[in-house]
Amino acid sequence: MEYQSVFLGLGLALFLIGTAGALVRRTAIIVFLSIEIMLGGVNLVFLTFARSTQSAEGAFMVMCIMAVAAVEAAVGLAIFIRMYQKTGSIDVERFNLLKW
Amino acid sequence: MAELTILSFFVILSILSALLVVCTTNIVHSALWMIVSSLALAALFLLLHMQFLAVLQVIVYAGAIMMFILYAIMMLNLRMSSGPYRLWNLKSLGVAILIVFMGGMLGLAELMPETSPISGPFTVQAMQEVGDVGILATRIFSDYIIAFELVAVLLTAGVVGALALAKKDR
Repeated sequence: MEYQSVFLGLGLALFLIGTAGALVRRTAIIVFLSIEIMLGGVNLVFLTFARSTQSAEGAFMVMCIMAVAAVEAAVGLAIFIRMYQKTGSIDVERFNLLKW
Repeated sequence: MAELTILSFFVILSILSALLVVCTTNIVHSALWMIVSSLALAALFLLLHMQFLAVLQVIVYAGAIMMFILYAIMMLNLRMSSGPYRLWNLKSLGVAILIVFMGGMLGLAELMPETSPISGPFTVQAMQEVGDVGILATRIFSDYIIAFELVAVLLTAGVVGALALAKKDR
């Protein structure tokens, strides 16, 4: 397939941007959004290979990843609300309940 | 030529919006840029001829998940985020890792066959007859039925877990 390298490179770039964001930022919501960007990059790579090998597995995998991302959003936002009630912010540094 | 122009536009848009999500200090702006990023990704899915997944991407990411996020931002009354960690002195190392990864991946991509096999389900004829929704649907409800049901269980468990977490302590 033509332009396959472009799609793969973009998937990789999105994954790396997401990784950098998840490691560098301290606000929990931005960390969550960075993880979503990483999932988007992975989805793109899955679809590129599904397209170039003409298989349905990659497309189905992307649907599963979307479902997991939706569940992650629901549970993650519940966690943010609890975090805000406990510590008054959603700074991941302040959330050190398990640290001793 | 037109395809290349469209492709490069969406590639640049997607990278720029992803960078802006990570770099803006205003959380609301960050969430709004995330919507742009998901829409650009949906356009790229369209360029890969995956119409159904592009629609799903718009509905699930740009619609549902980002609405959740904006609700959370409004409920928690957040405006500015806390600043980044002091990790930027690792920038050169990060750039080096990025270049090595990119080179490796692009080399891998060159090894892939240029022409796609005709044996897979996404043939031109099948795409014209039933479309990619039809192809995916026949697979989901026959070969991948267990995984599909497990996704349903996961969604239920996620809803119950979110409710249990968000409830106040008694």
